Amino acid sequence: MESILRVEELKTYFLTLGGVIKAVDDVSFEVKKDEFFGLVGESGCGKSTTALSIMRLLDDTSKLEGRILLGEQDIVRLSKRQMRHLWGKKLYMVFQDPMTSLNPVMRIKDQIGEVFRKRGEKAVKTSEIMERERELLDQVDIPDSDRVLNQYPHQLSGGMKQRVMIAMGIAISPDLLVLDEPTTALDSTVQFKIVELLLNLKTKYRMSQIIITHDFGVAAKLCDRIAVMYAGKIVEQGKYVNLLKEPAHPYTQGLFRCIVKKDQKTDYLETMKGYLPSLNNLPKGCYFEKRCVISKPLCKEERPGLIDIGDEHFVACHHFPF
Amino acid sequence: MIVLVFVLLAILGPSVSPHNPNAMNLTKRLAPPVWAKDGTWKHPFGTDMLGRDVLSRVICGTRNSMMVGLSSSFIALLIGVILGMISGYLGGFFDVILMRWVDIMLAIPAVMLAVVLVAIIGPYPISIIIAMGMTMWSEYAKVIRSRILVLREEPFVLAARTMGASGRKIILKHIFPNIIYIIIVIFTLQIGLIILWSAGLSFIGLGGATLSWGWDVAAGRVYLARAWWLSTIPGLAIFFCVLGCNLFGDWLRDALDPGVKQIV
Amino acid sequence: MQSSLVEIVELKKHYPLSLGWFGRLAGSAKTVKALNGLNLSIYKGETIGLVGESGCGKSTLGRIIMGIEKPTEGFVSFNGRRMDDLKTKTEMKAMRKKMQMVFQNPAGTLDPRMTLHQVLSEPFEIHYKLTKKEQDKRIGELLEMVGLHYGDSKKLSGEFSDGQKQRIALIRALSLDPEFIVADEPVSALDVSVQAQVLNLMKGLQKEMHLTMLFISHDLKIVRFLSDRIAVIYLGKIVELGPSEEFFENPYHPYSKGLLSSILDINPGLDSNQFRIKADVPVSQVNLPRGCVFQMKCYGPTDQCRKNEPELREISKGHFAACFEN
Repeated sequence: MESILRVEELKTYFLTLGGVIKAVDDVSFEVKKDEFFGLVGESGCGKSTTALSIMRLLDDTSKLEGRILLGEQDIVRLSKRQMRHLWGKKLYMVFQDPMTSLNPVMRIKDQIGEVFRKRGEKAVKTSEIMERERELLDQVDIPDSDRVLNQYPHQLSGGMKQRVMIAMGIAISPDLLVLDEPTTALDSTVQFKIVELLLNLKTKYRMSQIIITHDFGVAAKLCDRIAVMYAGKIVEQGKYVNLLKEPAHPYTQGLFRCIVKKDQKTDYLETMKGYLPSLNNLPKGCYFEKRCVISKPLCKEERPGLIDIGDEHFVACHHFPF
Repeated sequence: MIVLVFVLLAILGPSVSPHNPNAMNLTKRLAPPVWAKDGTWKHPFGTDMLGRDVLSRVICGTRNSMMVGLSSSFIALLIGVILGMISGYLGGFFDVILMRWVDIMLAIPAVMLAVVLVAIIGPYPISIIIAMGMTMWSEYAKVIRSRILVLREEPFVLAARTMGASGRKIILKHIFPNIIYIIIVIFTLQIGLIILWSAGLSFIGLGGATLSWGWDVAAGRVYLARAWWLSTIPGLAIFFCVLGCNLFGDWLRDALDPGVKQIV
Repeated sequence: MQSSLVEIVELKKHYPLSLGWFGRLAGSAKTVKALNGLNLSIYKGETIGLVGESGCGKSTLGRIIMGIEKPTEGFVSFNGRRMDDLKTKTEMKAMRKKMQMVFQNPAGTLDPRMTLHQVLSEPFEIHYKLTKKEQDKRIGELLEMVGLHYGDSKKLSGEFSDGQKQRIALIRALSLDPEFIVADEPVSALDVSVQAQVLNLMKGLQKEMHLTMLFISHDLKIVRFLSDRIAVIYLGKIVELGPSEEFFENPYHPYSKGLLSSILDINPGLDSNQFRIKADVPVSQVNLPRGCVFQMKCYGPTDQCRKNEPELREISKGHFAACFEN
């Protein structure tokens, strides 16, 4: 399958008074056409920064290196002006908190209308736009679309706002849609519906998506392939089912063990010792070494690269022979 | 740095100035500063229309300005902090009334109020101090009150309440240390502002003190074409002093704000 | 018969919506009804998991129990004494010693300007007169419980990680040997690996100290790990209550079923056998519907549901639900 996005050796460094923070440190992956790719990890692992780097939404306090190939085009070096041709057309991002993503003083119909206008369809009549907006809201299971279109964001629930954001995503129909923690701010029952919605849309609309989440449950239901990130690096990536069946990296294994299961029977949860290294003072060798239960002397000295262990399953760990 | 210089000057004042600032010497009227033609080192900044040494006047004027600035700021601090804390922590009717009062005060330009007060009390330095103090406290009150409203709901304050800590203890141990840095920053920033305002008031003749920068600037206006240094030098003194205070305040804010300290 | 430590009786909490002069003159006092006649008995030594989504009133309940807020109607009694009955400050203080709270947000839970030592000595200073040596000893003991040493107590509280802060908040709550703990979403803001550490600590302490606890959360998986009984709260009322295992095996109320079905586990693919509720309908805490509070989201409300409010009725031993349907 062809790929929509190829990220190669991406580095995003922040220059601060406290030193250089390597938020994203040599990250490479690809997103194939029509697939849902998950960037999974705990807070501080770099997943959001990776997404913002790909979208080129970071400002001049950061330095980007590497290549981000959207189709044939490397967008790393493009200026903001050039990026504006891509934003809202080929690239689109839905942010974490639906409460703040919508303009509070614009009615819903005008906000969605903005999307249509941006596509350069000025010749279209207002009534036609309204019709299309109604269709859109139907697609995302928002009932009573006429009433909702005339409302302001604060009159909608969190889940509805998120649906509106997704609707705008559909309207744009970008080559790549990035969803940053799409369900974190929502109640669990609502979260479930949004996950259902995204899956339905997947079959209908064929969009390539990057989904950022810290919740393995969300990743499990939505993503075909995932990359697990730790301290700015990808430690393991591959098809979700493979990672679930046989997680290769000690961190991935640890995470799966730590998660409270639906039918948790034991009296004691598994934990991982230690904590995240500070991003401006990273160790020479493997970043995970201090917390790793199977670390060897080599792990302290050399940083492992991603190794192919079959069926598109990659892991960055010295325990896998080169 | 600048502030230190001024503070020193204010304290040492008359002992440092080369001449008695009030000593008139009509023969030496309007002598130019040392770098201009005919200037001498005896009067590095020249003399004014009455033969008084400009440098000495500037140096001694420092004391006046700093005093006004510090005392007014302090009065404002006292009033504003106490009212702000009561308002923020206790809320209720008092809070509502006070905030409306603050809004009214903020709507009236401080200078006008100061002018009115000075007109009532009389043109003495003390009146400027009181006038300034009474107009500038609103900033403290508003800022501190909003900070307290936030702090009141923070888990660590709630935790202290549920532990059984008395209201007084909470205010002293938890709330106060978390607002001190704000108080200090507002204080230093206001000093600069007050010095500026009081110079302005002196300029229009309401300062009460004849040995002040504002007064000198005003007096020198007439001579601007001939002896530009009479207004300019004191004017520069005002400028640098206020600038110094503001820079100091900015630096303090960055240094003390706990938010900035926690970089990854 | 177990003795109840905390009794919550017909608790109501209404917050007035400020409408300005006009509204008030017009007489319509609109209120946000956070709690609407909530009843619950918490027995000694048990942990009740209180589950509900945003806006259900669970945090308000926690705050009222702890005395941070006062109820509009109804009361809470602790060890037989009504909380609104306490007259003197000393009585209040004595009561405070017996119940403590752990909060959700680790960042604000410790005063950032205090050292750890100051944070932990505060409870002692309020209630006991310990010598400096005794106090230091106690602090050292408490820190050992969470894997820290006495030496760490000189550091500023802001220097610790979120997980550590929560664990410190926990031992601070326990330092006074309370009988009752209210934990309001203590792990929701933490990463998965850190959650496990804090939960383990809580579980261990639960057993060792025979704590009575009200554990408030929106995450059912976590609640199951710690709780003996589960109470589900919706729009200010308890809609289901029962022993933990029984609840998970046989949920009765449609809301409970909806909550349980919405758990996303780590297995790929959605279970097609999902219990349906209208999850996304906006509900107002100001205008509560007449009849069952849940009718807007339920797929099967009958006329009875729309007219009368169902009370909690016993379905099986110890298992109660407020629903007319069968």
